[in-house]
Amino acid sequence: MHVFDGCVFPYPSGTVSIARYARELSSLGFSGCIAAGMAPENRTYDIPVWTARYLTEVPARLLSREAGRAIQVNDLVYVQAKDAGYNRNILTTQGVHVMTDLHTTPKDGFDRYCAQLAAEREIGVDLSVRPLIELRDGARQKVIRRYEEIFTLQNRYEFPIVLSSHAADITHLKSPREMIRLFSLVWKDESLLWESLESICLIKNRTGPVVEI
Amino acid sequence: MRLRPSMRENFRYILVRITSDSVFESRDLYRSIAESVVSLYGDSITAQIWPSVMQVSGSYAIIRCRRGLEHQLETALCAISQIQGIPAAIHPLRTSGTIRTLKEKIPPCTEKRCAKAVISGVPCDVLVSMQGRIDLKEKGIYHEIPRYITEEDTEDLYYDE
Repeated sequence: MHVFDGCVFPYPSGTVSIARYARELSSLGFSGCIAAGMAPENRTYDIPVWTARYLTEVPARLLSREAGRAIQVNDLVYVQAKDAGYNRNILTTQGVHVMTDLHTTPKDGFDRYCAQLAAEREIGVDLSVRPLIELRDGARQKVIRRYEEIFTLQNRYEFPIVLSSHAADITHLKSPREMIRLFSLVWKDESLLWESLESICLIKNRTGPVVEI
Repeated sequence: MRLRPSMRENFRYILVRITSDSVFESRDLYRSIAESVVSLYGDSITAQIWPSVMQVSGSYAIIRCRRGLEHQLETALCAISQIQGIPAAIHPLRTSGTIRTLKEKIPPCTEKRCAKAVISGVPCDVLVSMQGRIDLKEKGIYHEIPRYITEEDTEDLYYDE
């Protein structure tokens, strides 16, 4: 069982070094993590650390070029979601692995068609645990509703979901069990939540050409 | 009101680890737990859960709740991001029916040692804890280095007398 934290932000985006993240996550029970940014070469950590390029505010016309450039130096490519049109563009771009920050998108930003595209192309949808912790009242309710919509679409189209802590500090880290507890506020099926913690391995190792159904 | 033993409430006790730069008293901890439970579940469920801080020892604490509602309390504990305005995290570790069992699970030594480390050519005052975890003491003055590192990230490390 490979339980991965879908995304952490090491220094300089956060306050924690990659080695420390690896040690803390290992003691919390993770078997790997994805670090947004570059990692020093020839270093080994307590757990496998894959790097991801986290693309934000990239114009749609440059997305293909940026994703292609990123895959040469990083293991994975994460792209921040926006409106429905942009999200469809992300989902049809070659080399994108995961779409993130869906809770910040406008209403109907991730619709039935996006879910279908994500399922066909095995692109993960990243759900962060941080808004569930840091937001309060109406804002948190909105995020829970948005996540519930995504889980409902997942139930129908079966695209991969990636659960992540989006940690930028040591206090943002959560153990797999804690993540399951927090996401059980949104979706009661714990087996799906455990699968989601493992899905990044399948996304990274996806093979073969994409077949349109 | 004194009840017969068979009519008493059954409780569950949760051992938690607090991750923060500060040490908190039990009332500070209780306030943040109560705020988190009320925010997530409302007053009605909070009354049913009946959370209570039994003991705080260093970065570990034992929290009590009614039997059957420990999952809800754990969720609320996970949703805590600060205590008394200081960034903190609470990690639930074990659940038990007795306090004694949980006391046995608390690690004996969790103290941090003061030391000096050289990181990227900059000498810094640091706190070293178990498994080579290193925290920089002063926050905000070292902009070029991360605040939380490991022994492998340092160029040199020597302990204070």
